[in-house]
Amino acid sequence: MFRLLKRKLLQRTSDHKDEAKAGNDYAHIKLDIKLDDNLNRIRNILGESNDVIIREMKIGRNSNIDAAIVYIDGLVDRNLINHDILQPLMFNLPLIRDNVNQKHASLIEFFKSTVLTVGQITESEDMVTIISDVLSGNIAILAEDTAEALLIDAKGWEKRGIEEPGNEVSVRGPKESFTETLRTNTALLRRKIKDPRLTFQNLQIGERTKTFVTVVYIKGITQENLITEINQRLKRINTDAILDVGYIEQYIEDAPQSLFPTVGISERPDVTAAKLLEGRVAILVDGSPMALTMPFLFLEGFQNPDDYYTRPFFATMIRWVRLLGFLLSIYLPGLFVSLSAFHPELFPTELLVSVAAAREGIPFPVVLEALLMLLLFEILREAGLRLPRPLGQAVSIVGALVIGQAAVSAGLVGAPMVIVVATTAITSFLVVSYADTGVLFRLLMVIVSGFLGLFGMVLFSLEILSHLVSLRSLGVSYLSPLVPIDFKSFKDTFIRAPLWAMDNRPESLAPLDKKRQAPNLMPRASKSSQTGREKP
Amino acid sequence: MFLEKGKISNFQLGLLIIGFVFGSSVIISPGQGAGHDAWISVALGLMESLLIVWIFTTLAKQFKGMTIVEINSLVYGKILGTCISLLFIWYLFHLGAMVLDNYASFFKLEIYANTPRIIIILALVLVCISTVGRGIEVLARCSAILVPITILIAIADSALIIPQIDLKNLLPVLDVPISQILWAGHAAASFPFAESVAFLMVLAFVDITENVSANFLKSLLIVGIILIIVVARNFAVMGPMAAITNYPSYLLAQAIDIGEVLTRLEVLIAVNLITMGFIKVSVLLYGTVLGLAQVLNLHSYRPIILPIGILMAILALTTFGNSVNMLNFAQKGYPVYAAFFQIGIPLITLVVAKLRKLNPTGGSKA
Repeated sequence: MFRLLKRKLLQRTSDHKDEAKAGNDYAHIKLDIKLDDNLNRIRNILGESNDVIIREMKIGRNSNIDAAIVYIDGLVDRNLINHDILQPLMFNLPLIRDNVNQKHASLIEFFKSTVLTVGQITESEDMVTIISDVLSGNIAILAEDTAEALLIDAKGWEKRGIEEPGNEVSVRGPKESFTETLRTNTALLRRKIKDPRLTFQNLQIGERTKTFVTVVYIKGITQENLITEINQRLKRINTDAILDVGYIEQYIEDAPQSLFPTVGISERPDVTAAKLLEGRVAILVDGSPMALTMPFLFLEGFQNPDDYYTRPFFATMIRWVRLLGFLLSIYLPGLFVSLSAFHPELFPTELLVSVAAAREGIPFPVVLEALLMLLLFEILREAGLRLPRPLGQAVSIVGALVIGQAAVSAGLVGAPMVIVVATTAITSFLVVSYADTGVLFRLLMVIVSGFLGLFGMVLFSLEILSHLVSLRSLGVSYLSPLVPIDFKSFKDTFIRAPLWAMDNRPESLAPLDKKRQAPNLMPRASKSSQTGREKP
Repeated sequence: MFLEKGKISNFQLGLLIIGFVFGSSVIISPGQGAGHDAWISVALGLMESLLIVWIFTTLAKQFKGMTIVEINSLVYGKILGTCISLLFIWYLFHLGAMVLDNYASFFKLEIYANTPRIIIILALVLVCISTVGRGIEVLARCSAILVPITILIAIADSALIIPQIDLKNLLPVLDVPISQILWAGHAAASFPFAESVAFLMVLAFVDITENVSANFLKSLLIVGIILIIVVARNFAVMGPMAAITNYPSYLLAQAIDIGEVLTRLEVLIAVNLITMGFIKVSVLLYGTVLGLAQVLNLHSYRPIILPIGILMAILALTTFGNSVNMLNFAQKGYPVYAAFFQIGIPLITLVVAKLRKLNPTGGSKA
């Protein structure tokens, strides 16, 4: 009942918003044939900002045609304007015999087909399109007696080059990462996958920012349901600003109330390409050097590009180390607290003695001690991250000396607790995807074990498990292939099988093309290459 | 009226059954009344329960996609059916409370002497409540992760104690009076095997109902054999001690000592008890709330999970004042009390359905 009312109310307000949008002064305006009127309208809409350039000129054989180009200074390539637009229009055009009206349907059509020496040109008569194109770095050409404008892609602004990935470091893999420019990012992907079926689908989201968002997938691999679902979720976003890929993530994720991420983020083109090839969908956002991938499954967090670029044995071991590190980072402080507060008998005797000796004279209960240290570590980490770079070092020295050394000798915390927290701090960064999730669970785990010991930890883990099991990312079970169990897909979970053995794409994503490669690819020497050394 | 939209696979059902039957029998050995012949009693109980399971899976197969509550109202009519359903729901509810009680007693006696029972019980019930709220599918998937771990621990536990096994402790075989063995056998059937009658509330949601019977019997055999081994092992290691201690498996795990490195494994047994107790209580709580929701014609069972769960905790806190009382009931009264629900209701319902020639093929509901 109340829900119904609420929905009705919401509908009312959203209707209202639509009306307000319709009240925009240029929503349905089409171009006029009078150039002056058109330019005045554009001036009205774009206002008095001095980065808007409206360049009027006279073209044609006898300089008798009025025309104008409109662009935003700084967003467009000046060279291109001078050489490929102004020069042909003003210099070359008079040389061409002007039988414009007979040969071509319109002047604009004539410009497009014969005069302008630029690549991407579209036509539009719709004011909204023209304005938004100009604002995103296109040039609009308008002419007298023409109710159409030419929109030329001339984007050329200052941008950062492709750099080494800063967060996802790889030893043997490619060392390039996404940048803030959408076009560069799509090119990076296209360079990895030269498949004509690699599809980039464009959307513009954000009432005011008009941010370009690109949905990437490979036709014939990615399940179509996933694409439609992503598109629906993206279309639902009705906000005024999308400033980063993180905005999109929070608007489309499956479990907004969960501590676990259900959307994958990567800054590496190779990782994103690999995920696309497994049958996932990627989302790129203009202005953000990260790519989202969905569905994101729990075990993906434990995969690392180097796993695939090195031989399988070490990769498998490292994967186990990562898993262990993740578990340690969540459980270690809690375990220490519950053992020393509730179950001291579980310590080996010698260890118990030294732990008890270290806690001698410490004023806080062990839970508080643990919480204090964990919190201090988070403070140090955040400070180290945000401080201006030269100061960061000072923080780490203060942290190491004051908190590590002095706190122990002053008897505020025990040395074992410092060891535990330090170990946790290191291990929590083994699995980058869950570094922030881990912090929260670690704190909760310490609190729970302070109340109920091991018993509480097991119960809390059960709660986490049942939560994890209930999660879905884009309809795919979060824990797959563990739950529902699928032994065939185990080749890329706890072990990393050799590449030649991974014949199939992950089953849980229901890819349209299941086979990744031909069977029996295990390398072996061909008959002809055998040398004669072993002849009898 | 579709209260539950989830579907579980046969594989998940099997693991759920194993987890359910493990339940509190992780620490409480069945067949305690038969002394060192307890393993024979457990075997007999397993056989009896296979028969019982055959009865109620036949019932479930005949009424596909229906829970016992829906079957009852179809077979007996509205009023009588509702009464019988309520009795059955009471059994699930009461059984849940008993499991909670068992498990709280264990923790109170062995580990948390100073923690109030209510905290121990509430902590588990709250986790169960939140899991049941996520539906049967989540519960089944949880068991798919937890049960293999438990089985592994049980096997490892047994393997590590092998050096201390003395088979002479099991001799002479069949020394205990046969009536005592049989009674203990029936007790073993009623706890824990035939308690799986609670699955009459779950079987409706298995995706392929054709081989439910075989699957059910298979799972029961697996867990039965593990329990027989566990019981025999306990007596073989501890001798007569196993008959008089409350929690022989726990005590036995304490005895494991491999090179002074692998010690203190009883923690794992306690962990097993929590996880399996969680599965059992959750299934029972699920059955109770789903049954009640169907009896009361509710749109969803979710709103009543919290109150029913709390009531279950209160019942667990108040029924048996102490564990001696509980054990007494478990050995003397329970086998008779439970027989009505485990054998009586399914058997009578099946017979009445046959007599009335009710056979809704394909389980299509109006």
